[in-house]
Amino acid sequence: MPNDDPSAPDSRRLLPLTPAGLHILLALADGERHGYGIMREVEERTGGELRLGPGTLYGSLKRMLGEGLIAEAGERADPQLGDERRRYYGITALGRATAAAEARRLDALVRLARSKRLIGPEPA
Amino acid sequence: MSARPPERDAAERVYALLLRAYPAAFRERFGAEMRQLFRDRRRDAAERGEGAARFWLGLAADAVRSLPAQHLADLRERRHAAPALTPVHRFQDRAMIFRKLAGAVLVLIALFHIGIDVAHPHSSMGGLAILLTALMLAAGAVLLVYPRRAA
Repeated sequence: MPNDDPSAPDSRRLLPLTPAGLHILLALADGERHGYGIMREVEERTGGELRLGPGTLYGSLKRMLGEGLIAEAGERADPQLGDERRRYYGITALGRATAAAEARRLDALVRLARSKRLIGPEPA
Repeated sequence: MSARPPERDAAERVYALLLRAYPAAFRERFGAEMRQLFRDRRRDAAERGEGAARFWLGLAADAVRSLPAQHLADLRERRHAAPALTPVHRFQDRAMIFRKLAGAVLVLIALFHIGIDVAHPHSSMGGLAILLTALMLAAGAVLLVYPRRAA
């Protein structure tokens, strides 16, 4: 796993996340992935609604690397995709904390929308 | 970055040309991975039976969304690194960005025409349309590739 900065600044300063940013963090939450792996995971989890193109994906990764949300995790081949080496990315402690803060923020918004009867009650 | 980079075919060469529209620093860091993702997505599209026109349209939409954002980010980074840029340097920066975006637009329009032609073979392009498309592709390539100064 990538090195995490123990003196990570408050994750709330990076909120709100872009939809692509949050989906990338969610894709990396359960393990390191390369760019194509991230793209596939996001596409599958959103039922094809969000398909990250190369420019959007690597633009987001560049920004998130700069913000310390993710870190490079080395290069290696993916056995399922042949012997071509791929660069992997992993989530940092700050990235995990920021994704959690964003999920809580969205949860509060959903609760507010329920209280105003904009959406139905939570399914049992 | 890859141990065995596959041979580039014509489509990947066109995509590599389009990549030249991104800022040099971004391209140097992520260009190889973006080409890798291009090959992966192309393989997926072929497996799904997705047409070439739809595939290239998706890439064009991605370029339209991401190119201005990357150039703005690059400008901010360079201004942060060298805040005392002269007006001449600022003008050169903007001219370079304009040239790259214009080149990308010409290549994308040419690709769009080729995509339409592939998708509708019965209404194949006439001689003049082919000439115009080739000219747009060539002009776009010239704007993207020359001069080779990093930007």
